[in-house]
Amino acid sequence: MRAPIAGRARAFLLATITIASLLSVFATAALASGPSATSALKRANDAYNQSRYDEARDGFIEAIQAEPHAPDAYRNLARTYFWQNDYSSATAYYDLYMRLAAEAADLEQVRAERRLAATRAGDQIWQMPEGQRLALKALGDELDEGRAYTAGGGGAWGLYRTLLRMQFAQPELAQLRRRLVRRLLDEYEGLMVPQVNQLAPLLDLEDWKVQRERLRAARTLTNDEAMLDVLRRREMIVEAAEALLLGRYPAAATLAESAASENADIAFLHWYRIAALIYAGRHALAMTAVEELGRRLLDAAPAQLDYARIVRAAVLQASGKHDDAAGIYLDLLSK
Amino acid sequence: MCRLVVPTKKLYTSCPRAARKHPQKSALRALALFTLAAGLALSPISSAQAQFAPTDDSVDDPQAPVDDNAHLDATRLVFWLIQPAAVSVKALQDFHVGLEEALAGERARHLLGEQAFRRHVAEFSAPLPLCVVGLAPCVSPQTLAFDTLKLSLVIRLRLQANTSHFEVNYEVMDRRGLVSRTATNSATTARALAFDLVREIFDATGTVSFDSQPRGAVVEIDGEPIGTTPVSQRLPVGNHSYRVRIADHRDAEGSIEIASASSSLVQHDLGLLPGKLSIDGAPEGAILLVNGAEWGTANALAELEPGNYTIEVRANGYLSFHDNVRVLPGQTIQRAVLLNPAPTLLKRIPPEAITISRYGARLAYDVGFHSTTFRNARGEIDAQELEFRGFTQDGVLPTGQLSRFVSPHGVRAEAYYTGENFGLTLLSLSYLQSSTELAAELEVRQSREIVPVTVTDVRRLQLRPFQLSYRMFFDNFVPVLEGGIGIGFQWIDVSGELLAKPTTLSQTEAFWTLGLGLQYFFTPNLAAMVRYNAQSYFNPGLGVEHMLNLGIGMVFGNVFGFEAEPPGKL
Repeated sequence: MRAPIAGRARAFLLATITIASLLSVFATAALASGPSATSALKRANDAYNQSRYDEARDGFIEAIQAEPHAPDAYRNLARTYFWQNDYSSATAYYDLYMRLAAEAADLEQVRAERRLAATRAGDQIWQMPEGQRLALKALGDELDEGRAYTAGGGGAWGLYRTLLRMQFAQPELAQLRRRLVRRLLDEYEGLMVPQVNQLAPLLDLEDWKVQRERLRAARTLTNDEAMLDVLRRREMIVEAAEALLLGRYPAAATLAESAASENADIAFLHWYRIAALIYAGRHALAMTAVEELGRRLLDAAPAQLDYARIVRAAVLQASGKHDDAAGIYLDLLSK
Repeated sequence: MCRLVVPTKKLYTSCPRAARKHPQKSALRALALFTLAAGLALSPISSAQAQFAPTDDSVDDPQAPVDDNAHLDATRLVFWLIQPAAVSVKALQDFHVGLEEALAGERARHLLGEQAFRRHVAEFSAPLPLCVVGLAPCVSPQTLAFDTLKLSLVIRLRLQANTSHFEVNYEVMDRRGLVSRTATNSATTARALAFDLVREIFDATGTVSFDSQPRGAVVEIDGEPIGTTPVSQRLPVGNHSYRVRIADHRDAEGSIEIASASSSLVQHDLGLLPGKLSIDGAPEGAILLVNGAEWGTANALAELEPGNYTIEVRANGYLSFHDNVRVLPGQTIQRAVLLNPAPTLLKRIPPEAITISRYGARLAYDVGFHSTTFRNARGEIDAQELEFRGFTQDGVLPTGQLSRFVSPHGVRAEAYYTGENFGLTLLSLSYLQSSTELAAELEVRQSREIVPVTVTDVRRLQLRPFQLSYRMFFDNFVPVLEGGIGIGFQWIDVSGELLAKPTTLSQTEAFWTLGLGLQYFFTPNLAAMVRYNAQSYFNPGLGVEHMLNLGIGMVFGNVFGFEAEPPGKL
């Protein structure tokens, strides 16, 4: 008897994963950049021209972190390191520039600068600072097998922030962001799937708060319009859930209805709306919503029909129609 | 409005793990429930809405002690769903009365028939199941109906009268919604049938209560979840298997024998699951020490009880790695370690660290092995020109050239420029010397007079400009092949009785040189080299000189500053 239910649940899960995967495609093209990278680069250039190399270095690192594929900041950071007598770092960043800007007009000049930096570095070979290396490894492991985001900003997101704080500035950041966006969305979507025979995912207020933070974190990693639209629609679900759990029932009912229309794949929003209507004392609307849901469940999830009947009985009891409620219960107990 | 507190009890019972592990989280969950309940209670239509507040008083505060008599409460309501078939009203009344009398000794309350059930439903309002909003897991709809109506047992029976007796077919449905017993009974009177039925049914079930530490563990009986601890269940007599499980803790499994009309309590202390520690990046053979004690090989997964530990990874040839880890129940903690090689001159040096330096200088010790004739060596004494004729044997100059072996030794200084593989020796300068005692003859050019002498000393200065070299890298070992031309200046000291005084002959000869050496780099800038050179003189009489060379050298970066610097302004 359970096979069809399990089959449907699996199909639903697959559909959700497919959606998450599709979303991740958007994420691959999307990286946050723009004004912050430009302004950081300008500030750093100004500092370089005034020989304030510590400030310039931090600015170029910030610019690289904001836009890891833009080559200029790598070259300028290499030059900054050169004047700071850190020749091994300079050499490493000249190499990164030449990798990213293989057709650049100033390549010959940069090659010459690189040679000089390399010879002055002598036997000092640039190695990634130990802290960065460990954080990068931990982030990779977390992205492979761990959590994308945990309460309090931990998980891969926390390690990513740590990596940035450690002034990690490499083209690899772009790929890490793509993976992180994908994992954040996968994790968010994974929690949106109710377990087998459950009406809604088991999430409390704190879980929803973390879900919201996941979406916000993903938003800081992308500027793709399609992705941002997806994130906006997914945030509507969080808003509806939080309103419901915080006791703002009329708002929760409205938000759940709008979220359901924008997120057709999230079926539990209908249950949220019914709960909000009942808690708001709008029994007539709740009854209509339950009947509407019952019709929907006939095709989509017949296993949930009996839950709808129990909710219907509860609404009837609350409306004083005890006899009708008793009829529903008798029917259930006679099965 | 004291009901406002009740939902938090329900909440804790549903999610005790969250409450225990995350006090803040549980507080938020409580807040969510509180607001749900507050919204109900404080809304204008409070009487109607408040009915939705969870009112299940069977759910206890998790901090409260276990109630050993909980199973008695669990039997509080039994619903007899009676479906009469061709039975007179009198017989039905007799059956009802019989049931009431038979059940008088039972502690539970019984709803006899549909009317009693409807009155019961009218007595209260059901709470909205919390699983609708994802705050509690959903049990099956039947179990939900049982819980909503506070039923512990439903007995469905069909009563019918035959010519000589009454018969009843009945099914007993427990809280799981499962029919645990189906049977048919008969008796001559409806009243007797009721007594038989009560005796049979209540002797055929027993009650079991489950509790655990921590609470909130899911209880499965015969594979079916029945709720979370503490929980009670009436079960048919016989053997039942159960499992009690909660995240991050060890499962408890077992079986229980339910005896007729018995009540029993099953309690389990569910210990925390051990955590695992995975060490990444440790070299082969590295060992792991936990709190100072050797645990095993570092690359194997270490299973540890939850807690804080100090770990150390040791490996031969490396500096030890120390760290503190916190092992969480049921989770694998990963630690990436980087063991730095212990300081030694023999550590591996990547070729790119060597090739970055292009200029080199080397000082070496040279030993030559040369079988030669000194032919064409010339000198002068008192305006008389002398020429080396050859070595003598037993005072006689043999026919043909006699070669003698000399082995001069000395120092060699070299300066070179090298690319990654090809290089150019800018200058290689050797000075060698050897004392000998070799009999030879000189000829006075003007008088053609023969003068026997003894060669007492040989000195050589050799210049090898512009030798080409090629090198390869095998970690720190760098074999080198080199070749080029050179020029040698040689001075030969001779003395003899017929000479007025000891004198020096000299000669200058060019040669081809071909060498094969092996460098070992201790650091990217410091290397030792052993080399063999063959130097073949253009003058065939001088033969081939074999040289062994042992040296030490330094390499440098761009010391001349030809390269471009970065601009001062961007």
